[in-house]
Amino acid sequence: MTERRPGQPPPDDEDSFPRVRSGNPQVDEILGGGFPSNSINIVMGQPGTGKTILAEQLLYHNAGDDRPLLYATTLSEPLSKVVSYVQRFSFFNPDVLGSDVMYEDLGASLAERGPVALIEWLDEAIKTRSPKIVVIDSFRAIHDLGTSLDDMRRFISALAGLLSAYDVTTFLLGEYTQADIERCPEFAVADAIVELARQPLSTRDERFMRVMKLRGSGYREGQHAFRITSDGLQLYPRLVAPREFESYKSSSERVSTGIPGLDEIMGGGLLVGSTTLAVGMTGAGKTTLALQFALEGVRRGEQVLYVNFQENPVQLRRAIANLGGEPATAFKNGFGLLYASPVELQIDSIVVEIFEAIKTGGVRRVVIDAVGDLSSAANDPRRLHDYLYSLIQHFAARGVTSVLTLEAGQGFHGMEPSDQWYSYMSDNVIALGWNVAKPDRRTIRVFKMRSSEHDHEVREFEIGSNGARVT
Amino acid sequence: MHREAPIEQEGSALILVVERDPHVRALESYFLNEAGFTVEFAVDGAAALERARDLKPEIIISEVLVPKIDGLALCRAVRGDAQLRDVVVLIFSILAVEARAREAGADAFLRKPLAERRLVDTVRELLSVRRTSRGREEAT
Repeated sequence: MTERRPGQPPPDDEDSFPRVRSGNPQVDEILGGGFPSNSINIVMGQPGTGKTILAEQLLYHNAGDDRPLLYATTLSEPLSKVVSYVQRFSFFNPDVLGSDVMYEDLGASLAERGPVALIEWLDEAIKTRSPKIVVIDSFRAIHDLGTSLDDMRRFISALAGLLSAYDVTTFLLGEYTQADIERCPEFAVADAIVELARQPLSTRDERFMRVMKLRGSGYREGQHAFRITSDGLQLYPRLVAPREFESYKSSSERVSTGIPGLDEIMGGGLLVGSTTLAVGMTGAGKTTLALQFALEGVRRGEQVLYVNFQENPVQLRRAIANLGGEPATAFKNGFGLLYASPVELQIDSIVVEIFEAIKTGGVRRVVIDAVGDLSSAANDPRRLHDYLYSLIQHFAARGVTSVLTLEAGQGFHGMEPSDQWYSYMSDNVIALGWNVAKPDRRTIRVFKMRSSEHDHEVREFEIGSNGARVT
Repeated sequence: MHREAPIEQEGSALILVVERDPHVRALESYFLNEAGFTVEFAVDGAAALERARDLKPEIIISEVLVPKIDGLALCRAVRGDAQLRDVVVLIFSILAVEARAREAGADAFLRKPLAERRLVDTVRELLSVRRTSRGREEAT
C-alpha cells in the first residue's frame, strides 16, 4: 500500500484498497470496483431476493486460489437445498466444489452450544484451512437463539476481532429489515452493507440492489435494478448524468430531419446532440416523423438506434417499406432496432441497453418510440424522470441527436400535466395534430427550439406514399 | 493450504511479539509456533524493551500502535541499545508506514491483517539473512 504523507489525498487504486470481485462486473461497478478485501460485509434482504446467489456467484468466481472459500449455513436454509440449487447456475463449477469451495452446516452445533460455536468454528477454520472468503448464511438466524442483546454485542465484538485480525473477507447474509440496522450490533462492525429488495409491480416483481454503506470507498448510490438469470444476477447500474461533456464539433452544427420542409422551419435542421420531442394524437404522424429521421441517418451513412415499444419488428419493416425504404438494406446499413414488448418492459434494462449502444456502437441518431410506454412500465415516475434526464444528457455529451415520441390528447399541445416534464427536458418540441377546420389534414408546429430560431406557424404535415413533408 | 514443516535450525529461534490485540496475538502465536518458533509477548513498547534485554530474542515483531513506547520508537531504541542493536525488527502494523519503519531502522515491514504464509516466510527470510551475515562476520 502506498504510504501517505500529511495532506496527501487518499489513494484509490487496487494496491491501496484491494477488492474482492463479485463475479459480476456490474455489481463491482456500483461498489467502485468490488467488495473491500479483509472486510466484514452484510448482504441483507428478505427471503428470495437473491442473497445466496450473489454470495455463491462471488465464491465460484474467486475459486482457484490455493486458499479455500467457505460457505457455512446456520439455522435458516438447509445446506442440501443451497448446494442443490446452485447447480442450476452457469457459474457453478463442480471441479472446485469440495476443494476450493467448501460448504458446511453449522446448524446443529449452533443449536447445541449457541453463537460461540460459530467463533470456535471460525477460529479452527482459520488455523487449519486459511480461508480466503467466508460466507455465513444466515447470520440473522443467530439472533433467534435467544441470546440477549448484551451477549450478542459481546459475541459480535469477539467475532469482529477475530475476523479483522486475519486476512479473510467475510459475508454475513441475513433476512434483515431496515429496523434491524439500528438494532443488530453486526451493522456497526460491517464495512459494507448491501441490500437486495423485491417490489411487486403489476403482474411481475422488480428487484433492486442498493449499497447502504461502503467504508473507505465511493460507490454508486440509489437503487439498481437486477434480474436473476441462469448466469446469476444481471444488474443494471442506475444511469447518472455524465460528469463531463465531450465537445462535439460545433454547437451550431445541424443534422437534417429527412422530412422535406421541416429543416427549413427549424432553422436548418436539428442541432447535433439535441433532443426533440414529437408529441401528438394517435395517427398524427409521430412514428412517421421519427422513422423518417432515422432513415435519413442511414441514408447519410450514420449508425442509428430505433428503440421501439409499439410495432414489433415485422410491423416496423412494413412501416419502413411504406415510407419508400427497403427494410433489408436499412438494417444492413446501420439501422439498429431495439424492440421490447410493453408487457415485459423494464426501464432499467432498456435504458442501460440504449446507453451501451451509444457508448460502444458509434450511434449518431436515436429514436425512442414512445417514451410514454416507459412511464407505464415505471413504478416510480421520479425514477423514470431521472433516467431519461441522464440519458438525454449522455446524448448531448456524445453528440447523439435524438427524437422521442409521446402520445397526447387534444388541446394546446395535448400533453397531460404529468407528461409536461418531457417537454422541459427536451431541447425541441414539435406538436403534431389535425386541422380543426379540415379534419383530414395533419398539422405540425414547432413549439420550442432551444438555442435556435424557428418558425412558429402551424403548418400542414402531409404523409404520402414517399413519406412525410411540411408544406 | 500447504504449510511448510518447521526447520530444525529455526526451532530455537525466539521471537518477541509486541501486540495489544488479543486476536492478533493468539493467531501470531499459533502460526509462529506451528512454524517451529518460540514466541514471547509484550503488550507495550516499554515492557518489550525490558523483555528484549532479558530474553535476547532473534526477532522482535511489533505493531506501531502499542502503549507507552510506540513500535517505531521501540525500533529506534533497539537500534540505539548496544545489547540489542543486532536484533532483527519486523514492523507488523495496521498502518501503512513502511517508509517510516525503514527510517526507524526496521529490517522489514508487513501490513496487517495477518496472512500466515506472508508472516512466516518473512520471518524465515529475515532469520536466514541474519544468520548468513553473522556467519560472514565470524569467518572474517
